[in-house]
Amino acid sequence: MSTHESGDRMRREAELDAALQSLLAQPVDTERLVRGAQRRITRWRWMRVLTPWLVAIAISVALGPVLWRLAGGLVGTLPSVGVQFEFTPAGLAALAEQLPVYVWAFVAGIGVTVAATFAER
Amino acid sequence: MDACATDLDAEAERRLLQAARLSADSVAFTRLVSPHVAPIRRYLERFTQDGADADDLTQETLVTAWRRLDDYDGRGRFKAWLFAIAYREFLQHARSRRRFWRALGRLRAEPAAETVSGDAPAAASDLERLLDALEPEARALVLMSKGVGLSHAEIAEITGKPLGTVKSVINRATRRLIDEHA
Repeated sequence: MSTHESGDRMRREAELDAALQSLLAQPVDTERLVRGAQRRITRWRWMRVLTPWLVAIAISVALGPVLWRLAGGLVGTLPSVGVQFEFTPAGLAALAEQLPVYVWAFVAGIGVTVAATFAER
Repeated sequence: MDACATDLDAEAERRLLQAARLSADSVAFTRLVSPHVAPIRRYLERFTQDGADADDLTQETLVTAWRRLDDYDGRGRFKAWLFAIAYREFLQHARSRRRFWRALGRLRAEPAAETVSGDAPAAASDLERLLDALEPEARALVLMSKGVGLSHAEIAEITGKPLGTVKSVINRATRRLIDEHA
């Protein structure tokens, strides 16, 4: 290849480089894409927090009654809080009166977990 | 946001990276990635040939980058690290599209579509048409090299191909583009 041909080739290669660079440098709506990514990141963070809870709840719902029966029958004690619980309409009604306490404890637990997770990241 | 979309010097990039890592500072992360969003989006568009898919993959690239920010060890350029993620996102996308087309082909008892592309943009330039005519691998490598400005070594690391292969594929594709674009 002669010097002239070599120079010509280098010039054309430089032109190609410039054309390809300008092809990729064409403006896009960066703000929209970044906003979309941030929404996905937020969704991912929430899912990371909630997924273990949802799995735990699903397992409890599925296995809870079975375990309860296996554990000894119709009368028992809710183990972690020591509340007497009788598996009869009256017993269920009595438990229902106390239920909001557990519901709020559950919500508070989720809140603490969410806050801890976000504080950690 | 436009103000953010300017190239950062190494020191500014390092500071933003630290801020984004330490406090999950989304403002710092946004400033860190903004200069690279347009090239990544354009790069992915050349493969998917579909604006919506390119948008989707660009956003997934940013999400993955945010999740794995701690994995970036600072040895290579941040830009190369981001493009490695974008490249992997595209490969994953292409694989799932191929699976989809294969399944659809079986259902219709027709040959599956070979490409992952939709309609090519009507206003594609000669250069864009020539690029699209290249083998997907050659297109990926030549765009990373000539368009994005990554070194052959960086491309070899991103794609997992031997350095010699990367060089020869890029040289062949460049020669073809020059000859046919002339």
